Amino acid sequence: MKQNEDIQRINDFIDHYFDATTSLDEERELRRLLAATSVRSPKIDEARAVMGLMAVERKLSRRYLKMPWRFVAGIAASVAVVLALGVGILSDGSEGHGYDNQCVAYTGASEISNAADVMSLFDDQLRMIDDAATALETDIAGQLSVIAEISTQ
Amino acid sequence: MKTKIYITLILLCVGTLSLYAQRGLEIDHIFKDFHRADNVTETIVSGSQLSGTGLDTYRSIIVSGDGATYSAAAIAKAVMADATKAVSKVVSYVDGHLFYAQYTLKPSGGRNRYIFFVDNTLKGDSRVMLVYMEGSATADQVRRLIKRK
Repeated sequence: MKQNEDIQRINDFIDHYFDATTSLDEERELRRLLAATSVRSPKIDEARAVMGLMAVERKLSRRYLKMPWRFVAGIAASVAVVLALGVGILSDGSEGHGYDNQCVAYTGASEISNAADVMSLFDDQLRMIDDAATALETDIAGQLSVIAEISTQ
Repeated sequence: MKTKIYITLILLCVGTLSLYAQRGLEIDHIFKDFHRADNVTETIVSGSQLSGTGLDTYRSIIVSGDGATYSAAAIAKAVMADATKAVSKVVSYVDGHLFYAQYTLKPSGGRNRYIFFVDNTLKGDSRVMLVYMEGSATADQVRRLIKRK
């Protein structure tokens, strides 16, 4: 009697399982029942095969997940090394890295290495920025005064 | 063990690549293209010469002469492309052309970065200037540095 009830339960669970309406707990229970029963039928065998296959696939996919991580990490590391070396090798040395002690200027092909001359250029250039910024501030001040004039009329 | 080696390798490589972080800017191409070119004055200052300024890298190009107007368009295009990385901007146009730009970029590697652009060809002069600055200096400190010159 008990066995008949179990078989009926298993069959119901299998129907739900293939309809994709089982909960995780029900799937777990079905798996337990399939493992515990010695009864065989085409339906039960099919369920065993499908659930067993999925379990094997899960194990395999876990194994394969580990391998690609190492594989991808290895490739990423190799690519990064090649990139870093490539960038370093291809660099024309003209890039300011912020850590070097450089003080040099070029006018066309001529090099200016005298620090005082280079710093004089540095000062001139900052003045050029200041002049442009001041011109902009003057423009803004002029526009604001026009607005102020209009608003007081 | 192998995983640890891979992780160490990756961290080393990421560290190495970060040294080249500033190369991600469009203006880097301009600095490369105009390096030691005719009618170009290029200035590179870094390290001890900048002590007291809060900067550790200063780089500029000034293009002058007949080709300045043409160069101004290319430089302005690169500057405006880098505007997407700016956290603050001061920009001025003359007759629809970029005359002045001052961008404060997102910090990189803990260092503040600034771009300045001045196109004096729009005001009757024949010079176009692009400046890149990098260091611990805040925007206020950079402004004061420029004002005191």
